[in-house]
Amino acid sequence: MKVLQALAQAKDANDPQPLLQHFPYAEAIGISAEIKDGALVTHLAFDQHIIGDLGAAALQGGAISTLLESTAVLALLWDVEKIQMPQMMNHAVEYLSSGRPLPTFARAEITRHGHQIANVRTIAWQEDPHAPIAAAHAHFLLVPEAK
Amino acid sequence: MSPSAVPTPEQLLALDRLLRLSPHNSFLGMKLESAKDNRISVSLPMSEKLVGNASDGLLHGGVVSSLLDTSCSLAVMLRLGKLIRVATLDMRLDYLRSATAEGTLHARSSCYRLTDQMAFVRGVAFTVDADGNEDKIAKAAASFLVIHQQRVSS
Repeated sequence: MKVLQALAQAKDANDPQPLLQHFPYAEAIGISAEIKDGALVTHLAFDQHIIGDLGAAALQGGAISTLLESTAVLALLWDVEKIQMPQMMNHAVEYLSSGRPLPTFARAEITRHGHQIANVRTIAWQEDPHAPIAAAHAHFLLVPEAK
Repeated sequence: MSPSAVPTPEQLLALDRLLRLSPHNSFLGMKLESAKDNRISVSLPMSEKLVGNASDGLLHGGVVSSLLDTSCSLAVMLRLGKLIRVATLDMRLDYLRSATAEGTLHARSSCYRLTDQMAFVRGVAFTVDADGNEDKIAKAAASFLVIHQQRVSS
């Protein structure tokens, strides 16, 4: 499938950004991806359309959740050698502090990458990588790619 | 407004204005469908823009997260009977089945426990088929901090 072909090319170039065109909503909301110090890091650009609360100038939780979910999927695709697409079964987000009108970054840690299930933890931050604004964990079912 | 009361048209308008005041909600085209008996319903129109992975055309989970975050926070205000600022502490979503990004995505939420500072909310996102049956897509369990010092203006 297209995403997996693009994945092979992206991995050869060590650049995940071309993958984003296969993830329309992630791209529409303003997510980009790069490899930094050998790890996949995503970036949600600040834009008015991710603001949830105008009065408090706070990002909508769902926009942060979208970044974390996308990061988990991209990290799994980047990690996986087998041909399979991860299917998210559940996602649990903790909002640690209010997202300010700034660029937001995220990275993932794959806790376990099994045959059927993958467990991924993600973290999002703004100015300081040591001061996360949100953390999440997700379970994925790993389905063999359709022929 | 007691928890079981039907909100007045003014209160409904205030909730609807508050929903539309959020740029992210407007970006997704969310609207208030109904609010009564401690239950609030919101919806958004799905489109190709909301697809998670282009190769299968399925809806991105983040859209479901946004709709449920909005409906759950409005459920707290409905239960409070006031537009008080609330902050999402956590939200867990179970994705029950995947949905194609076509038609309308609905969410219904209710606040089932409210204390001085905390609110506990459940929500469900679903589509409705041609026969009017609900197809559940995701279930949410969330908790909110109630920030009494801050009223939100709508």
